[in-house]
Amino acid sequence: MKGDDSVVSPGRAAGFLLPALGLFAVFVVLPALSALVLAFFRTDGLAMREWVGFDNFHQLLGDALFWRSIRNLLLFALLTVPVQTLGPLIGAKLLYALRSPRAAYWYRTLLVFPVLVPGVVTILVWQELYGATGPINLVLNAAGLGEYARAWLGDPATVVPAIVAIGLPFTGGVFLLIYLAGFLSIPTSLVEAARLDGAGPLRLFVSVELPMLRTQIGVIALLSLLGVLQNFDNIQILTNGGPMNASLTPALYLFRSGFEFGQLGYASALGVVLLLLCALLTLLVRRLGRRES
Amino acid sequence: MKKSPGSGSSPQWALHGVLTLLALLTALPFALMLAMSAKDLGQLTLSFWAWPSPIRWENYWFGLKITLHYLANSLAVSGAVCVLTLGCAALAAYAFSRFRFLGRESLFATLLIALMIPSALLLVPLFLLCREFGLLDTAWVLVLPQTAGALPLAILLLRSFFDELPRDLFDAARIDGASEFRVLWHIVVPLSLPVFSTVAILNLLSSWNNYIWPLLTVQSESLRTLPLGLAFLVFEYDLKFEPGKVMAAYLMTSLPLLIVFLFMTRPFVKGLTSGALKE
Repeated sequence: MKGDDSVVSPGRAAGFLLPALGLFAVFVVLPALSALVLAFFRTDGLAMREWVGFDNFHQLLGDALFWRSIRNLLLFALLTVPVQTLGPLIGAKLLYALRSPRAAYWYRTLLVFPVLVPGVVTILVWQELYGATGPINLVLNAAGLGEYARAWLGDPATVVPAIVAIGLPFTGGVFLLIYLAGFLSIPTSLVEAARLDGAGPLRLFVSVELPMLRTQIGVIALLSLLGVLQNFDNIQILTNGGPMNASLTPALYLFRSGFEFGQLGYASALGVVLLLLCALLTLLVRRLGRRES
Repeated sequence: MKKSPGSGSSPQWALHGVLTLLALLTALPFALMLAMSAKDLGQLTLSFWAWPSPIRWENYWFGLKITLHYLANSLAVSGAVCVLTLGCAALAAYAFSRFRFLGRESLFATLLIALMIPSALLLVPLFLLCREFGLLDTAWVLVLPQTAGALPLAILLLRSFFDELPRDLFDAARIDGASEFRVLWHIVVPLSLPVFSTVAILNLLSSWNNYIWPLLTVQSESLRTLPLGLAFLVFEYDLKFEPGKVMAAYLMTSLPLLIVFLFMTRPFVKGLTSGALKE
């Protein structure tokens, strides 16, 4: 029902739009705009305000903790995005190659079920597993590798990989379902033709299936990256950025500046930088995607 | 699942081997949760890997008792957010898809831009706003902002689906003199159930898991949602030395959705993939 001959009726349209746009204006647009304004104020606690121009941004550039959080973010992204993009792709390929639909159904169920476990439960269970006397260290001690046992989340050297590892084995989740739908939408004729030309399984995967899944790969890489940029609640629960700020990310730094230290203006400036980063990355990925296709 | 044409050439036993390994790895942390939940501290320290004997059934009873109330809260909040989101988004998507009005596309573009805003950016001003409105520590503060935040994606998905519906249906309905609202309710909604289920599932999962917003805005114990209740559990009930009980509580709170999932895998998977990323 797209098209120019749809009903012209601004009045009635307004009635349909009002509930959604009302909520959206009050709880999304208004806060977004006031974040932009707040970024130019110095705030003290929740009350005092004073216009300071770009001071917050200047301060941010000279803030060692901010740069530390950027460095941590890069490490998080480097470790997370490739495995989150490729893991589910491999999982989907394996399921797709199975001959028995029944087996595929059960493996899929087993790979996807953690999506349904409350995120906080997964995080807290892993916290237990990583504990000083938790199962991971128990296994290491039993295997005679006791020297490697440690408080995984309490050691600056291991905290970031340990948080990323919570996604192990990285083959499931919603991303798997997206890839699987992608595999199933590849035209059979294409696969048959490639096979007639003598393409082996590997060749088929690289030359036919991967190109057909380009869109999905791009979307998932972007979603994964935006997730790394924005998510901080798991880190907040596990370490609150510690030890020694080794797992502090910009989003968590924003959260703590605002709600622990009461620097709402500074937090908002950080948020604006984060917003620009997200927008920039999205546009970049979009452009790359367009050029390729 | 459909029989796939990609099968045939690779050795099936190797596939089964790898997939079984992956499934085991996926389940491992949850299996450990299950194993730990059946023991008390003594059993956990002295015989971590042994079969629990006796099984501490009281852990599960305890876990259920202290979390039931958080579960009920989460169910109410997520249900309300989902119904409100679907209702408001359906109306708006219908208007975007069916009516022509000034500024339609720029309004729609504004919604899309909102998808890029990091939620962390909104937390501070949103908190101040809700405090100004006197919403803090009420059920409203849990429902309204989450609904508003979910609307852009919901409207985007619904509209792109509505746009694809055949026009003739609507012309016929219009000639019959049906009101726009009736057309939406009796024609568009029944035809769009796949995309509605996609939106509903995505919406439920995100509000079910939301931790930070309730943490900031809710003080009363009586309003705590599941993630919040679980995060405070150890502290609140002094369970530092009762990992078995804690794990049992985690297990009990994970069960409801898992059981639903077990019976509804097909619609769930279909819902997540069919409406959304069709290209």
